[in-house]
Amino acid sequence: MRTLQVIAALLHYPSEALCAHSGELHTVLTDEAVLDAAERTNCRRFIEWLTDQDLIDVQARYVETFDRSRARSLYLFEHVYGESRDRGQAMVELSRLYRSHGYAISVRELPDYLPLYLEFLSRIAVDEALPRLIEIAPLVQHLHAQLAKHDSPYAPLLQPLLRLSGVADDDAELWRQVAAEAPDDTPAALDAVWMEAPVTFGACDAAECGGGQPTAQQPIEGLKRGHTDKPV
Amino acid sequence: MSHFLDRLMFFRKVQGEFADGHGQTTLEDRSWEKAYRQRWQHDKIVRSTHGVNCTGSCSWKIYVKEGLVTWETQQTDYPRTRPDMPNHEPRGCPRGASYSWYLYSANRLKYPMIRARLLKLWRVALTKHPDPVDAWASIVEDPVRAREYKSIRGLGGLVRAQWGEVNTLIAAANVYTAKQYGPDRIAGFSPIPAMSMVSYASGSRYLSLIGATCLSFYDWYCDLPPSSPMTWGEQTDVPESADWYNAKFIIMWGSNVPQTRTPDAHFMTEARYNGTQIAVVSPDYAEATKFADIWLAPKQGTDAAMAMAMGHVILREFHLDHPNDYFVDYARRYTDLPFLVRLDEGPKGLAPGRFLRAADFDAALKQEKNPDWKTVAWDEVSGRVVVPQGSVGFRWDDSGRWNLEEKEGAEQREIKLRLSHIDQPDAVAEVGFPYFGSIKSDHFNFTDHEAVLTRKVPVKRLCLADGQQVLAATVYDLMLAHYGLDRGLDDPGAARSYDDDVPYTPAWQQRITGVDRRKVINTARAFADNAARTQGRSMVILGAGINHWYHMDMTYRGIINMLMLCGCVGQSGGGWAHYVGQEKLRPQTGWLPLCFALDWVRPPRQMNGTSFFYAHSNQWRYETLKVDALLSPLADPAKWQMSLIDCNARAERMGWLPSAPQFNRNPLKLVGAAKAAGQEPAAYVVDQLKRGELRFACEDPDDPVNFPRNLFIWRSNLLGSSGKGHEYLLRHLLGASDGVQSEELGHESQPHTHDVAWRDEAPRGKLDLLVTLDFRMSTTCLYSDVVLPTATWYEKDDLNTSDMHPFIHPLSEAVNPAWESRSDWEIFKGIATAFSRVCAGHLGVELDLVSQPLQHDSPAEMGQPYAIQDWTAGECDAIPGKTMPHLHVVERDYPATGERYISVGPLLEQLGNGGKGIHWQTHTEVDELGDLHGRHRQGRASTGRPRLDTAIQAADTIMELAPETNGAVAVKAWRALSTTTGREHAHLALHKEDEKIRFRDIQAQPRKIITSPIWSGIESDKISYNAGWINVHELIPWRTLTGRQHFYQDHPWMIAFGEGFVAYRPPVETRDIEALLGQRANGHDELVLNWITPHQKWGIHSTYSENLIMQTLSRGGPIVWISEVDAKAAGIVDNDWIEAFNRNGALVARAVVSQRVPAGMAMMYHAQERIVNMPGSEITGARGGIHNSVTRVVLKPTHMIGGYAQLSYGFNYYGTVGSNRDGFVIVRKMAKVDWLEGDDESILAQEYKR
Repeated sequence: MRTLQVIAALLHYPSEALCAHSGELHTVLTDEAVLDAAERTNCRRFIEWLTDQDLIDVQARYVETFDRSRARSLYLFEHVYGESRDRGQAMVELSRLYRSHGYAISVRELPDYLPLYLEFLSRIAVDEALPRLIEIAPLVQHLHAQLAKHDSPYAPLLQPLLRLSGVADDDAELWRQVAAEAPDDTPAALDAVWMEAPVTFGACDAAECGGGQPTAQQPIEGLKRGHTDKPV
Repeated sequence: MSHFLDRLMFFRKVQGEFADGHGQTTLEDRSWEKAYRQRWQHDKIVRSTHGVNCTGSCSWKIYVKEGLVTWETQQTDYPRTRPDMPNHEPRGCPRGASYSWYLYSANRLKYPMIRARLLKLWRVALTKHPDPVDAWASIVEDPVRAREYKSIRGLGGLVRAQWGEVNTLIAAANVYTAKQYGPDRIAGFSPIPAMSMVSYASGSRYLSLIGATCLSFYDWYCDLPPSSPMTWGEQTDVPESADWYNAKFIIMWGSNVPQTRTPDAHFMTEARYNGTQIAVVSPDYAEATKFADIWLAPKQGTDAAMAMAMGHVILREFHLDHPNDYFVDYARRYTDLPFLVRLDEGPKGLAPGRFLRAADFDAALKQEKNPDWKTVAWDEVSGRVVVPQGSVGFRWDDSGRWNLEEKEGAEQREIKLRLSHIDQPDAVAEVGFPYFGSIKSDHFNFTDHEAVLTRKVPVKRLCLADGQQVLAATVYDLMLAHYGLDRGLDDPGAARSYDDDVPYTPAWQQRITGVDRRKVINTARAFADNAARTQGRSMVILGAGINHWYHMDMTYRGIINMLMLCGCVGQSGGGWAHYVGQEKLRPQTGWLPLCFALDWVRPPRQMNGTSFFYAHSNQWRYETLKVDALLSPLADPAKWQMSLIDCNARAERMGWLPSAPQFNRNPLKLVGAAKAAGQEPAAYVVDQLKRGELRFACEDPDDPVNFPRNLFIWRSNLLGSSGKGHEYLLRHLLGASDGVQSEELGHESQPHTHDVAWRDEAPRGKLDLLVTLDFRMSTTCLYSDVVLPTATWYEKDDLNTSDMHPFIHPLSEAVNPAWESRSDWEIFKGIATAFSRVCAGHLGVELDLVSQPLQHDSPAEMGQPYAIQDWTAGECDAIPGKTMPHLHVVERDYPATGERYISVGPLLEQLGNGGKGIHWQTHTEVDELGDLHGRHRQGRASTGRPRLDTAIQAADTIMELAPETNGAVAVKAWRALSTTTGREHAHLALHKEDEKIRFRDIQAQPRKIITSPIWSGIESDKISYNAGWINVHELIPWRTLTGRQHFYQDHPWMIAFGEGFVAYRPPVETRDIEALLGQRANGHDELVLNWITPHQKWGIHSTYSENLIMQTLSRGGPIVWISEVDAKAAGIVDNDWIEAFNRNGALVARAVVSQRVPAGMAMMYHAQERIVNMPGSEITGARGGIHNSVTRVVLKPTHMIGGYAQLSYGFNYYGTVGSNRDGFVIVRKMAKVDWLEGDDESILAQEYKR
C-alpha cells in the first residue's frame, strides 16, 4: 500500500523535496486507488495548500501543529505512555518488530513516529498491514479529532486511515469527549492518566495470562488495553 | 529385623509441600514470568548524572536497550566512608529518577529552530548580499526589518533549520557585532558550571576566544552570600553533607534540607539518630521542621535580629561571665577581634573608623613593603602595638610571612594579641553605632530606639607618625558594646539583663521577630555550650530562605558571628553550611584555562550578571529606592545624592566592578587609534577618558552603541526561572510584549540619576540576536531567535562535582544525541568553525583593549587603602590597576578561532597556571596531554598543539591540569603556596603524588579528589571535608585584609552604609504595590503579601518544572501558597485561581491554602514554567506571567566595593546580587479564568496564538 507512504510523506515535516515531487504523490494515489474520490480530492487540495505557500510558512504551521502540542504529537506513544518509563521498552519492542521484517531505522527518528510507522506498513503485506493499522486506529482517531477541532489542514490526511481501519472519522462520542475534554491538570485527571492496570501475581495457565514470550505485538496492544479510552 | 530396605537408596519422594507447609511445589507453566524478567534486561548500563543547577551530583545507572534509554536507577558504588560514618548512598531523588523520560518527550527539542520571519529576512538578504556579514548588517541596521522579528519574540513562529545555516547566521551576527560595535557587545549566560563543566566551558571558551563577555550567575541568582567574601575572602566553602554527622548541634536556618538537598538529607536523619540536637529556624512549617528538637519561627526577613540576640547571649555567657578558654584563644588567633580600629570624630560624636595600619605609625613599624595594608594589634608580651603576620600586605610582599603564626612581622618575635583593653584602658569613650530597627514599616515590626546608639568602649590612646593622637579600640571591645553588652562601665545604653528592651537583647528581638525570648536564649546557650564541650562541633546549615533578602549579609553575618565566637569555623562538624546554588567546581584550576581560553588569550572578559541585567533591562529606570535612604545615620547624606545605578557606574570607573560593554567605542579600534595618536594604548585610553572623548558605556546604557547586541544562553532557563524583573527583560532587552504595569514611574527616578545619562525614551529590543541551547522547549526558548537542540544529560560526556560530597564523577554518552541534537561542546565547536570562515574579509588578527577590574587574589586587591578617591571627580590620578580598571591589550586571531577552540594553547607553558593567588608551571602536564591525545598536524595556529577535539579530551584536559585530580600538580600547588606562607604544606598531598584521575576512571567509579590549596578543607581518611580547616590547622591566612576572619568591615562605603558591624536591617521598601492597590477592582478583596519564592521539590531544580510526573506529585501547574488566615480574609479557598500582581507585572496561579504558611506571606516555588497550564491575567490581558513577573532587582551599594582585599571583584565571587524577597504583591481571587481560547487543551499552542 504505497498510499500509506504518501500519507507518511505528507505528515512529515514539509521540505523542498516533498514539494518538488508532489506530482509523483498524485500518481501513486491515482494508480493504487486505495483512496476513494473524496479522499483523493482532499489529498490533492492538501498538496496544493502545501505548494502554494512559502515553504517557511508551511513549516512554521507544521511546527505549531505538531511540535508544540502533546495532544497533537505524531509520536504514537506520547498518547499512550507520555513521559512514563514504559515508553522506552515499548519503543524497543516496536523496533524489534521492524527488524523482524527486515527494516532498520536509518534516520534519527524514534520508532513510534507515525509517518515512520506508516512507511513500514506501506512495505509489508496488506493482510498484515491492515491489522497493524487497526491497532493504532484509536490513536489516529483521537489525533484526527484534535486536528479537526483546530481546523487543521492536516486533519483530512488521517481520514483514509480511519476508513481503512473501519473506524468512524466523526465518532460523535469521541468528538463530544474531545470538545468537552475536562481540564487535564486536576489531580484526579492526572491520576487517571497515570493509573496503571493492577498486576496480579500467582500461578495460572499460560494461556490465561497471555503467557509465553512477550510478542512484538504487545506494545501496540497496550493501546487497546484501555489507555486510549481515557482523556490523554 | 533391619529396616534397611524400607529406605530408598537412590530416590526421594517428591514433596508437594516443604517448609512446614509454607512452601509448595507446582508444575504449572511459568513462562509468563519471562515477561517480567525480560522487562528488566538491557544491553548496557552507563554511568551518568543530571547536569545543570541541581547540586545533588548523584551518580546514576542509565539502562540502554536497542540504543534507547529505558530507565535509570541510583548508583550505589561510592567509595565507602571510614568506620563509624554512614555511607554516601543512597543519593538521588524523584526528579532525577524521572529524567530519562525527558529524552523522548514531545517537548524535546529535536532540530535547530529559528524564527521564521528572521529566516525569511535572512534568505532574502543573502540573495542581495552574498557575504553573510553584510547580509546580517542589512537586517539589523534597518529599523523596520529589525522590529519585524524582534517584536514577535515569544509568539511562536519557529521553523526547523539546518545546522549549517544557523551556524552561519550566528557567526555572521557575531562577526558583524564585533566588527561594528565591539566583541564586548556579545554576551553569554550559563549557570553552575560544576554540574557539567565541559558544557559550560564550551560556550565560554568560544566567547572568550572572540573577546565576548561571560556573565556570572551566582550573584545574579542571589545564591552568592556576599557575607562569605566579606568574612573570609572566600566565595563559598562549606562542609560536605557527611560532616553533618560529625556535628553535635545543628541549626537549620532558612534551609529546607529534605526538600532541596534530598540526596543528602539522610545524613541529617542519621545525625539525629546519633544524638545530634537540631534547631530549625523557619517562618513557615517547612519540611525541614520535622527534624527539629526546637522550632523557631521568626517573622520572615527579620532573622538578623534573632541571630544578633543569640550572639548577645553567647557573648554574655561564654565570653564575659564565664570566658571559655577555647573560644577566647580562637578569637585571638583566627579572627580580627584583637585588631585595632581608630575612632573618628564626626558630627554625631565618635564612631568606629578604619583599621589602623603599620603606615600610621612611626617608621611604619619597620614594614617597608605594603605598610598601608598591614593591620596592627596590641601585643601583651611586649606591651605595644605590633604588626602581626598574615595580613594582606604580607601576602604580596614576597616575605614568606603570610601565615597565622603568632609572630610579629618584622622581627619574628612571639606575640600574644590582646582582645580587650577593659582592664587597662587609656580611657573610656562614648562611641556611636548606627541602628536601623526603628525604620517605620507597614509590614514589619519596628522599635523606637534612637537611630544612633551611644555605647561606652574602653580605648587606647595612640600617637601616630604624623603626630596626631587617636583613640583606638579593639574590634572585640567595639563589638561587645555594639551588641549592647554591659561591661561594668556604667553605660546607660548597655543591657543589664536579657529582658531589657535594648538592641540586641533577646527581649528586643522578640519585638521584631515575634519569637519567645526564652527559646532564643536556650538555643543560643545550647549551641555555644555544645561548641565549648566539643571544640567547635556546632554547625549552622543556612540557605536561600535567608540569603535572598536585600540585607542578606546582615542575617548571614549575624549567624557567622555566632560560629566564629564559638570557634566552630574550620573544625570538623562545625561551621557554616551554606547550600544554595553552590559553585564547587572542584578541579577549578584545570577547568579555568579550558573555560575562558586562558591557554590562548588573557585576560577574559567577565561581567557580574546582576549589574548587567539591571542596566540593560532598564530596571534602573523604575528604581524607587534612593541611595540616601540606605545610609547610616552617621553618614553625610549630602555626599550620596544619587541613584543606585550611579553607584554602579562609579564602581565600574574606579575598577571595582567590571563593565560590559566597556566603553562607548569599539575596543578593537582603540589600539589603532592610540597608535595613530602616537600613544601607548593604556595611556591613550586614560587620556581620552579624562578629556571626555571616550566614555564608559555604563554612563549611558541606552545609547545604541552601548547595547549588548548578541546573547547566548545555554544550560539555563534564564527567562523562565532566573530572570528577575522578567517583564522588564521582555520589554527592554528583547523588545517583546510585556506585562509591566508602571510605564510612568520611570520618570520619577530621573532627577536622581547623576552620573548616568537619562534618555526620555527607553529603548526596546536591544538584542539583535538571542541564541538558546536547550533540550526542552523552555520559556527562554520561546523568546529566542535561534534555538539549538542540545544533547541531554544521558547523551554527552562531561564532568560533575558538588560541595555536598568529595567525589568527581561523569556524565556519559549512554546513547547518541537524539534527532539532530548535539552536545554543547560540538555546538560551539561548529559555531567557532563558522566564525573562522565567515570573518574572512571582516576581521583578521586584531588588537583588543580589555578593561579588567581590580581582581581579588592578585596584588591589585591592594587598591585604595583609605578614603575613596574618584579620578573622574579629579580627586586622584587615573591609574589603571589602582584607581581605575586595568587596561590590557589582547591579540585576537579571529580566523584561527575554530583551530584554537580544538587545541590546547601555548600560554599555559608561557605563563603557567594557577588560581586563588597561587601560580605554578605546567609544562609537564601540557606535554603529557599532547602525548595522550595526540597533537594537531595541520592548521596555522593549531599545529603541534595537543588535541582538544572531543568532550572527553576536554574533560581529561581539565583533570590533567587540576591539582584536585592530578597528584603531581597538587604537590606543585602546595609548594607554590609555601613560598608565600613560609610553611611546609606539601605533606597534605605527597602521598597522592602519583595519582591521576582520568575520565575512564570516574566512569568506572566516582573518585575522591585530592587535597589542594584551592580549597580550604582537606580530603582525608580521618575527617570529613570542612571549610576553613587549612586556615585553622595549617595556619594559612584567610584571604582578607587582616588575614583573619572578619567581624568588622572598615571600607568607607561599608561604614557609610552602616555595616561596619552586623546590624539588624529591616527589609527594604520597594514600593511595588502602592500605585495599584485598590485600582483594578474585580469584585474580590485584595491581600497585600510578602512575595517569597523558595526552591521547589517537584521540578528539576529551577530549570525544568513541566515534567508530568512531578506535576502529578505536586498540584500540576502554577501554585501559590497562602495562609488560612489570609485566605479567609479574601474569600479564597484552596485550589481557587488567584492573581498576584504589582507594578512589575502579574501572574496567575492556583491557591494552596495551608496551615504551613504564616499570615502575611505568599510563597511561589520558583520556577514554574509559563508553558504549563497558564490562563490569562486580568491585569495584563495577556497570558499570566511567571514568579519573576512581579519581581525587580534592587542593587546594594556595598556589594559594588572593589580593590580592597577581600572586597575585590572576582567572577561569581563578589558583586551585586539579585535579591528578590523584600517585595510585596497584591493577591486576589480571579473573577474570570480566561484560557484565552476557551479551553485548556493545549496551553502550548495557545501561547503562540494570543
